[in-house]
Amino acid sequence: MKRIAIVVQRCHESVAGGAEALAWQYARLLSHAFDVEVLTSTALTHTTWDNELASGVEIRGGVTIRRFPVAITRSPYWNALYHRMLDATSKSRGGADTGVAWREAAQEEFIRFQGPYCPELETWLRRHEADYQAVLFCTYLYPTTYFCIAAVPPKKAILIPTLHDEPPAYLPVFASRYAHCAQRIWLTAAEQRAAAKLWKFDAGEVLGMAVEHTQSVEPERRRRSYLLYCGRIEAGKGCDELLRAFEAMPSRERISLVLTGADNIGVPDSPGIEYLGFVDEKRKLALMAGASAFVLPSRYESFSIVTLEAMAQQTPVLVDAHSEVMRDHVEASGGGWHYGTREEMIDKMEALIRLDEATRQRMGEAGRAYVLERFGEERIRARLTAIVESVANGDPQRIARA
Amino acid sequence: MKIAMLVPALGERDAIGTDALEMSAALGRMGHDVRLFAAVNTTGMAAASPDAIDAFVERNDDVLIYHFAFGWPPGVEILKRVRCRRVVRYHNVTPPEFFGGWSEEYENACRAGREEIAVLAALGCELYLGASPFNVDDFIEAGVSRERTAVLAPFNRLSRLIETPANLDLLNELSDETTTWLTVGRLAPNKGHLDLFDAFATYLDRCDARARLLVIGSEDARLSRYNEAIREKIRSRRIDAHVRFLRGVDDSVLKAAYLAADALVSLSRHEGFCVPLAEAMALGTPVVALDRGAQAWTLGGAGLLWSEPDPSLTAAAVERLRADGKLRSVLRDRGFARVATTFAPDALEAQLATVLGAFR
Repeated sequence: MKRIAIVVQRCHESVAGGAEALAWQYARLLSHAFDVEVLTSTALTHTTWDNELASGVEIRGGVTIRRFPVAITRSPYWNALYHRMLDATSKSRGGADTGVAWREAAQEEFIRFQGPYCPELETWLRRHEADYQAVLFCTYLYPTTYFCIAAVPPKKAILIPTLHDEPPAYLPVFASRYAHCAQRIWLTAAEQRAAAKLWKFDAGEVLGMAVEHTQSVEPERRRRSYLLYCGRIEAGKGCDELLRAFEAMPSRERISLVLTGADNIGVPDSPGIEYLGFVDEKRKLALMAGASAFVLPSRYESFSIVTLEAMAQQTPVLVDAHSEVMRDHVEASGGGWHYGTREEMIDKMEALIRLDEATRQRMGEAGRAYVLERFGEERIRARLTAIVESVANGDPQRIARA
Repeated sequence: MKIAMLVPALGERDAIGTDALEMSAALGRMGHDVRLFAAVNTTGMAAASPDAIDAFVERNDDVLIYHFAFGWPPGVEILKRVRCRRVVRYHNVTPPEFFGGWSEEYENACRAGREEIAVLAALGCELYLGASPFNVDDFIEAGVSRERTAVLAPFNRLSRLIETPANLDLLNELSDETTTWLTVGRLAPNKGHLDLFDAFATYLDRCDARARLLVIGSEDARLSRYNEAIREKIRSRRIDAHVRFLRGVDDSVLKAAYLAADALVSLSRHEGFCVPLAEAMALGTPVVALDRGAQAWTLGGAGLLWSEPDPSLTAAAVERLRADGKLRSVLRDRGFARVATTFAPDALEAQLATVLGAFR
């Protein structure tokens, strides 16, 4: 069996990050065809990058996880660099010319101190790259990808950027570093378009992530019709907007807004707002199946597994049009709607509550078909395996070049 | 194995002291019983008097590592009398010619040091361990067989520099569009400062009239003539407003300078290794250097080298680096690889273990 590695900033059952979930899913899917090792840091917390886990080897689900210590943990120095980075990228982001010019060395200083900076992981790859037929690097932003990808011959490197249109992505060193690799995997067409805009290249395969829970479940029966949100409840996810929009709905006295997940915002104790805390997968799917609509108000989404899970339960979804990824999902599937303004959000939430059965069924079926066709586990596994196989064989069907 | 580390003058932040201290630590991690001996010690680290060395390395299979960078007759005497195996760790001695006309004191000291190369070579020590192939050549020319030589780059402070936050005030001040040259190294005639100022003046004339040159390096009162020549050169080339001396800098200021520089320029005519080149590579700062001494080996293809200190060529090289992002990217990756494979702590430790493997 050929040996491959997946490099990712964190890897542990307790880590909830999307990119980490993606890396682990790919490790799991590829473990049927390859001897897979995950190379990662000893950190658990992305705000500190403290060495919370022991360095060394763990075997989980047949996958070898090698953890390497973090040499630089997060400090106020990085915060200062971050604010300066905003100035340094302002002009290229369409903002004011601040006169701040960062040389590549300063840009790399920002990446290094953002963390997790793991020089021993880089050393491991330099010494052992010959043992791996392909190495996948997950998340463009972190030093585990930025510095370690240079330790591997480009013909073996597969980049999974999980790129967003965000200020650090405008630092020119990223485009320069990632211009040459054997292959790139984009989660969505929107991400690929973002790369074309930010980095001036977009070669690679749009693959996405497998939606693992697609089996239809019995819907949860609740006293009132309800809108549903699942995930971290915080302003950065647009949840404050969602709560305000719900409060403004004319029908709010007859319906509910149900929320599940970590409450980082302080969900108000208000009539119609039902915060259920953490729920298990089974109940989450039942809630999705029973909801009048699933609402995802986040503007910054790279994929949104949770929205696709709701679509798989034949539930219409409502998403923020500012997120290109989410807009693509609903436009390509017909399984939901998007909104651009707060008023439109309120109107569409009302409309989804009152949706006639025929339309609801048509949207639900379209959404489920979209998920199964594009993001079914076997389909993703087959395509991912073929991509990695072609690189491992030294014969990429399509070399990703700038 | 008992290993005595003998350093005439042990300083914490100088290249030799760093090499001795870090090498001792590495040998300790390998399980050896290592002890430091120094005639002068300004580090605060425990180091015994060289007089006590014989009692420590008393067996034939013990090892003495002598750090040689200038003439020190007591060191020769110790090497002559000990019964253990002997390693001469050679950091290079600058030839006296470089100090001719500048400092008789330095000229004499360097002459004495160079003469000691032949004396040490004649002792038939078990290993002559140079910080570069250039250093090793001195002993081969003095009659040592190549089999008794090895190259090991100096242990260094690169990891600490990488992990030290830069001085933000200086970084902010320098992070503008103005081209920034940087040179790092003590002010000494072999370091080529006078050539550097000519090259920088040419750059101001032809490329960027606003450019600045940061000079990091200590001034030595014993080289007053050279120091005055530097001042006169700056006056005569009318570049006073563009040259900034940073003295007594700590790591955070040094790092800020590297991060803000468009190029580290080293026109030194004699280097046994040149730590600033390794520092620049570790931090991703582009390098322009003169192909003299060990500089080409240290860079390992990760910088632009010229065989002569022609001001136009040096200025053109900086301008090329400033304008060519792809070239910078290629050189930066080569520099990172060079540091990781040859100068990083674990790489040096592995090389040291290999070198000393023959002593087991």
